[in-house]
Amino acid sequence: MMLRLALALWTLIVVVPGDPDRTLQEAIAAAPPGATLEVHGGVYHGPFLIDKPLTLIGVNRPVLDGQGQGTVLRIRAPHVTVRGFVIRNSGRSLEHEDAGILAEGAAGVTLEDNHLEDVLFGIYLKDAPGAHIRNNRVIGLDVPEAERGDAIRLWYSPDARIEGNRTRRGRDVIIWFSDRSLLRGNQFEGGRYGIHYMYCNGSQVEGNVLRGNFVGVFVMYSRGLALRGNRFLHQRGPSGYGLAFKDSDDVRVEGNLFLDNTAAIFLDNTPREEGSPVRFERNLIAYNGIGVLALPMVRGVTFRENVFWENEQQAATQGEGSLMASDWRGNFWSDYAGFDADGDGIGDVPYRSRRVFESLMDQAPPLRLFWGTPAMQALESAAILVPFFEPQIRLEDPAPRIRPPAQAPVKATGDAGGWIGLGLGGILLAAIGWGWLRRPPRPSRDVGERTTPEAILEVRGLRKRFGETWAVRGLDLIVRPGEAVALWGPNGAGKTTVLRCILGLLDCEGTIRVAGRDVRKEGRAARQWIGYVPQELAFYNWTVAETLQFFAALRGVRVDPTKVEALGLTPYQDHPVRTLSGGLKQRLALALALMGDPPILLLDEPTANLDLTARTEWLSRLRELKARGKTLLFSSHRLEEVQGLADRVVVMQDGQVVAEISPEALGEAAGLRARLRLSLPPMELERARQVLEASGYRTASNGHGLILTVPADRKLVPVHRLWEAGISVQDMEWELEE
Amino acid sequence: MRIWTLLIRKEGREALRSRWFLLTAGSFAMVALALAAFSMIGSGYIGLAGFGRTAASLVNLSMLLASLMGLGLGALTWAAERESGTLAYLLSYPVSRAQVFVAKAAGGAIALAAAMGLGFGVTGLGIGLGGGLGGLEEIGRYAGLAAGATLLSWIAYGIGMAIGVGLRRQSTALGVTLIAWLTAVFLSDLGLMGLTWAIGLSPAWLWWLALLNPLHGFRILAMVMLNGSPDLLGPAGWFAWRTYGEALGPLLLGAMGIWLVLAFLVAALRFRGLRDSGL
Amino acid sequence: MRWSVRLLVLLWLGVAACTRASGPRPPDIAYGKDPCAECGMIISDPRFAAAYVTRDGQARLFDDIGDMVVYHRKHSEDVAVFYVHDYETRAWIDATHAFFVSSPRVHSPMGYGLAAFSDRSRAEAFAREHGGEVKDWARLLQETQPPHGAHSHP
Repeated sequence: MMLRLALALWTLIVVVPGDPDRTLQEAIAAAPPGATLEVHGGVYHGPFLIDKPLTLIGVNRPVLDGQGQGTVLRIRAPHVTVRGFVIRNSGRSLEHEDAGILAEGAAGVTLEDNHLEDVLFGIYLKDAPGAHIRNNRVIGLDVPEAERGDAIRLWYSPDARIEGNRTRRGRDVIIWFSDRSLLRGNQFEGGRYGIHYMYCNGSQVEGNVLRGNFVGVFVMYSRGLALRGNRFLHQRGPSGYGLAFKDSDDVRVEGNLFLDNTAAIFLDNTPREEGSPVRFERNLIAYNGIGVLALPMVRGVTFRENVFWENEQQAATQGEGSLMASDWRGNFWSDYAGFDADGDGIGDVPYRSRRVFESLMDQAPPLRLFWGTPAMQALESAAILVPFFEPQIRLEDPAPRIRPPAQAPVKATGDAGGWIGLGLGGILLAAIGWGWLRRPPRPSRDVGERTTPEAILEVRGLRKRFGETWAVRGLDLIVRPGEAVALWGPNGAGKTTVLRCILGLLDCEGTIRVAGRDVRKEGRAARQWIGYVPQELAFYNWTVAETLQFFAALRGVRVDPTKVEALGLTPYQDHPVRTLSGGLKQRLALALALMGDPPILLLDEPTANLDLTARTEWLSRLRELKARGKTLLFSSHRLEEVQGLADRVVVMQDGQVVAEISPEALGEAAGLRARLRLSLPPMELERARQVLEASGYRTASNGHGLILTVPADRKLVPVHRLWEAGISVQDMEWELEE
Repeated sequence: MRIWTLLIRKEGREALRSRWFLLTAGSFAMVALALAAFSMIGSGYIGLAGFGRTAASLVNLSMLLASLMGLGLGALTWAAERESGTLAYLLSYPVSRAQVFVAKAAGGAIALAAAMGLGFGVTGLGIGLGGGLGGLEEIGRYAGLAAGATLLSWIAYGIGMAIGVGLRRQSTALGVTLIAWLTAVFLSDLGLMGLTWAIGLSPAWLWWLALLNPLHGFRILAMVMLNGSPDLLGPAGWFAWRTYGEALGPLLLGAMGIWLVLAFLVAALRFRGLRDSGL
Repeated sequence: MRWSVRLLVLLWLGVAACTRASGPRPPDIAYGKDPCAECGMIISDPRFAAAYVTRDGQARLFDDIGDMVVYHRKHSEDVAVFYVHDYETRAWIDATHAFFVSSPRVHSPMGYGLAAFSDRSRAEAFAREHGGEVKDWARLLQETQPPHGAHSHP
């Protein structure tokens, strides 16, 4: 050995790329056994074969390129060292197991500090005992998992030391039929099986990181394994295990971290031989779906001083059964609900895993779909309150620890800045949304030209049915610009229905045209022409100013302050609408109807909500609007309203027009009688009754006033009589009698 | 265009002002923050690694509260207008029914997104101030979770709007909301559990029946987002994973999309039919 | 009904959804997803994947022909058809009519070193090229044992 080393030092051969006299393969062929080749940076095209003991040292990372043909570097001799190369572009044949480096029948090979890229298999040892594989990097092909090869594969290659390597995107790291291997400080990521041991005895696995593989470490048919200080992170997927054992014996698992795996530890027929030790000690098993998952027949496993921290299920069997045949004494359970009265650090009542839902899942495994849902938690809570059914005890720790054993906290990287950024981002988004919604409305759209046709409103053959009853049965109506038309009739005559049909709020038969536009087809354009004051005023819970701004903006105009002022609303700008009096609300409604200056006003019982004085004021306002050229269509059953405002009266009864007459003719023409309600001061009530009876009226009292029937055109006569007698009428209401 | 923004803003403002919204959105933010704080305390011992658990709790919280928030907001919006008679008044203006409906949908959706943004934002901030749980990948997943929860709240809002059309009273709407919520969160699951247990529903049947509930769509989608596969859902999850594999995420997203479209479509059709008695 | 549910308990990770077609058909395997019923490993390589279907329609999937033999020996289920893949064509074939090459040079997922062929001549050609011997199904059932490190060294 010493002699050979000395010889090797004697023969140092320098190889540079592009040397016309000597390719790398020729240099290898020419070198005496034991020689050292110093290979300088550049690309060398292979494949290559080393068939004698040589040391190849890469200077400035020379590249060995297999050109997609078979294995890039084949080693067929003992004591070969390959250090500091990039090895890439192997063949793609799974059949031939094309690899980056294949050492076959070669003892004592050393592979160090190489980068293997774009290779099907990475490092492949076949009958290569005593290999040292250190600080290599293997990145697998970016192809579907089924088409990948193994990152590292040991086959009948005992006594290997595999240290500080990193693999990504390989299929597996396979260690088969290879006893006494040591794996230390490696990082295996994103593969299928982080490490797959089969038929191996006496292996040490220390300080490795297994991250994001299907399974971290799977041990099968092996004995004498020790796993210490490894980290099993994020092995997810329906068959995702951190560490799995099948048919193995004599296992020690100590001081490992299992974090966020589907199941941290999986046990199948392990221990295989009764009495063979399988021990899990001082492991930290946190935030996994299942902490320990075992097949029901597993027995005789020892768990000591482990920390079971917030796993969705701390321990479970795969299928019906229990874990009682294993020894669970002295672990820490984050869901332990017991106490420690004597202060010895050991819980005074055993930790028992016993859940109703688990028992239900045994009977119907698809129920697992509901695991963790609010419904499942409700069921679980209900079962505690009402123990309708005694679930099986899964496992028992007779001496659970109250505090977790001292243990170095895991340093997992936390990107605080990123989180703060995200948080602020979310809040900012919310604030932007909020702010945008709260911006006061701004109009910008101008109302288009309005050409005034002959008939500004035209209703033909209007019919409307509610259920079985016809509210309107055939109505024709023409309103010319500047006209004021009253729809007259008792309650239920169909007046409001007509107005709502014109507004498109109801679906009616017949045609309605506003300024030539069909209400049903061009409802929006038609409604541009109309300002509407409903009988029952409806406002949002806003201030007066907000209300004015919104509805003005809806018509595409700004709030006209002179209109607001004219209606006396200016002092109430900041008042919530709901605090206004009825009169003010009515004025606000009119102000809204006048926004954007629509030529037509539709008024539904415009004075219904007003007292006597307000009514008078209101009528004069409407007269003024009419004088300024507005077209008015309003429904009413008050004679004074009609007589004071209308140019023309359309008399409706039972959904039909019965007459079109002048307002003056209205009173007598119909021979109508009005039913009058007079509100009077209580102490004057009796005297007023006497005055009226003396004048020939028949009266009835309703507690705070008198009711009497008079000819419709002589309503004010009784009021006048009372006034003469010195009795002031507080309010007066009336309606037509049928 | 102005009319749209005007109406959307109006509806959003109404949503933001509603007591229901303030109550549920406030609770959501508070509980989410408490969850973050709790997981930070828990992580003191084992390091900052409990993201998965925090996320799982947030999934359940969203199932409970985001759905309640959306359902209530949707159902109450009609009844509130109805009680005050404002809807008919609004429609007497030069606006179309479609505009009013779309604005209602969009305004509420913006308000809900703001609420979810606030809730998840506050929680994310809390996690950040506590030192963070995991790196960029986790942050991305968390953002995905927030987006999923927002989508869920929109679906709930659509369903709320669909069932709330024509309701006359806010108290009725509230009752209907609670019944719908209890059904979605508890009763339908308990029913399915009973069915599975009693007659042994096959995994495939169970999967599809469960997916009829958008809450499950969200939950499984979140799980696929967080863990890469529905890995702890037993045979039903296995059936789905095996059958659809990588397409599972898009499939679930599609199922939620269908719910979203369907809910708003039904709401729109019911609103369109609402002429005579409903206004 | 209940009974089939219980069976699913055992197999929720072990078996794909069962198909109850008229007459047994080879099950389809989701490669990279379905786990082997015997060893629990994910089935990735169709060349070695095997399966059987029981008379009541249950399918069992395996990543290695050897695992199917061992599993069946342990569970003795009433099997309607055993299926294996032809090593070269990768088509499903009836295992009872197949020819198997047992060779240490065949690196099958669980190390049994078994490759199946639908006709004898191709099996024999393969055995000549790679070493190993040709067996029929009956012999395979009898002789197959889990490989052990100390023996069967190539």
